[in-house]
Amino acid sequence: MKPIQTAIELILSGNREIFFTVGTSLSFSFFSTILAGFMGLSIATILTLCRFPLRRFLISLITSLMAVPTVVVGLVVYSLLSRSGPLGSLGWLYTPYAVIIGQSIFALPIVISYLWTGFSKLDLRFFETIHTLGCSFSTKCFLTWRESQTVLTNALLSSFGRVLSEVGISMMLGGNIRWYTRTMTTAIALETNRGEYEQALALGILLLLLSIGINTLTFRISAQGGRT
Amino acid sequence: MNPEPLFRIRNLKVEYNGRGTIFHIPHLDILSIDRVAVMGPNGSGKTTFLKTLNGLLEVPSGTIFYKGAPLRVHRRKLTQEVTYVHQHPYLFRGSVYRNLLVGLHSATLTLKEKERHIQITLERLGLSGYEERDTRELSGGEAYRVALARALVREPQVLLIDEPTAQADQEAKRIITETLQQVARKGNTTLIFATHDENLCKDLDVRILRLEEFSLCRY
Repeated sequence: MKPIQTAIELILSGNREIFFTVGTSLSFSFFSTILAGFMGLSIATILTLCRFPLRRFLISLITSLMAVPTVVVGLVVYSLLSRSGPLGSLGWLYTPYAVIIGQSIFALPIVISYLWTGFSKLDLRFFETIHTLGCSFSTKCFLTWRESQTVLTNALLSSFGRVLSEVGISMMLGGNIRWYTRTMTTAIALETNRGEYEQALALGILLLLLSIGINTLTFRISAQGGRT
Repeated sequence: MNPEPLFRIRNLKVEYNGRGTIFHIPHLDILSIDRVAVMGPNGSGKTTFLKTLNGLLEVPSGTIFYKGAPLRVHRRKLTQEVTYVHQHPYLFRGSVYRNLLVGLHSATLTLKEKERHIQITLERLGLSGYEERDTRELSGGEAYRVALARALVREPQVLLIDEPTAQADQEAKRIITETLQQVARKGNTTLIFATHDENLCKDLDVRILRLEEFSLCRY
């Protein structure tokens, strides 16, 4: 029980390093979710409103990409950003940029899949109505998003939750640099290896609380969306 | 000289899996001055017929010409000129005003003109004061009139309406009938509607298309 007690004390004392790490995790996850959100929203809307060859194949491919392990995404982005890679000259490896790019790529299929599924569940009459009212493509997009506010929020929250708890990308692309790219998950891995269980446990508790918070919020929004 | 038909339908046949032919229209011309009531029992294909004319459904077999060209050639024109109102219409989230504004999204009017246009249309359908009402609070009959207003506000060349009086009480029926009479008198809009309501057909002095036996007669 001693390590748990110490971990709680660490949290309650407002340990600067712990909360800096939490802040880093949250900001990385926020920016990567926003980036994936913008790209995902565009792609999911096109997949919903447009009919073109290979559309079905593309949807199943994106859905399959949801299962790609984070280390594989990390490896691909690493090979692009490493000094000998095509984007090596940017010097972004082991910087927040690299982590955010990696996490965005990881989150993109999740966002697209959630949004596409949500958009597809809209009433058939909705699609017929925007067609028969002669809406332009931009109006169709706007109306689709307006009618799917709950879906949009859920997709972003779910992706935020997934990105927040991933470790492979942050470790490979951020390098776990203290006061710079160290996130909650990479710190937990490091502190456990070093035998500093209290620090790892404190971060674990905070990560768990954040995940529960996000899931609760997602659930409440879904329930509200279902009622309206 | 006879005017060029708006729709020319040739050998249109609709079949559902395992149910055989639902309806077959060997030859039908609809003129721009026409008012056509599509009648028939439930499941006779009235909605399918209307949706096919609007391009919401593919022409299953046969050909439909709109303004002289096959429907698929005129897809864009169809969405600009032809409007369909569902039997159970879909209203967008938000206010009645916002819904009607969507109907006017492509109109080259100022916002003030659009507002005026919306007000006049709502008034015609007995919906004055409904502008700010949330669409989720409307009854079935009110929702139908809002959908009809959303379609009318566009002043379409062809108005396809599914069961306009099915959900209406006596007062709403009167309002809808009067509105459609006004539209018909104005003469800019071709009215084609599916209905079971014989009185509506009588009031609007329509040609009746009976799908189940393919017969066309004047009321």
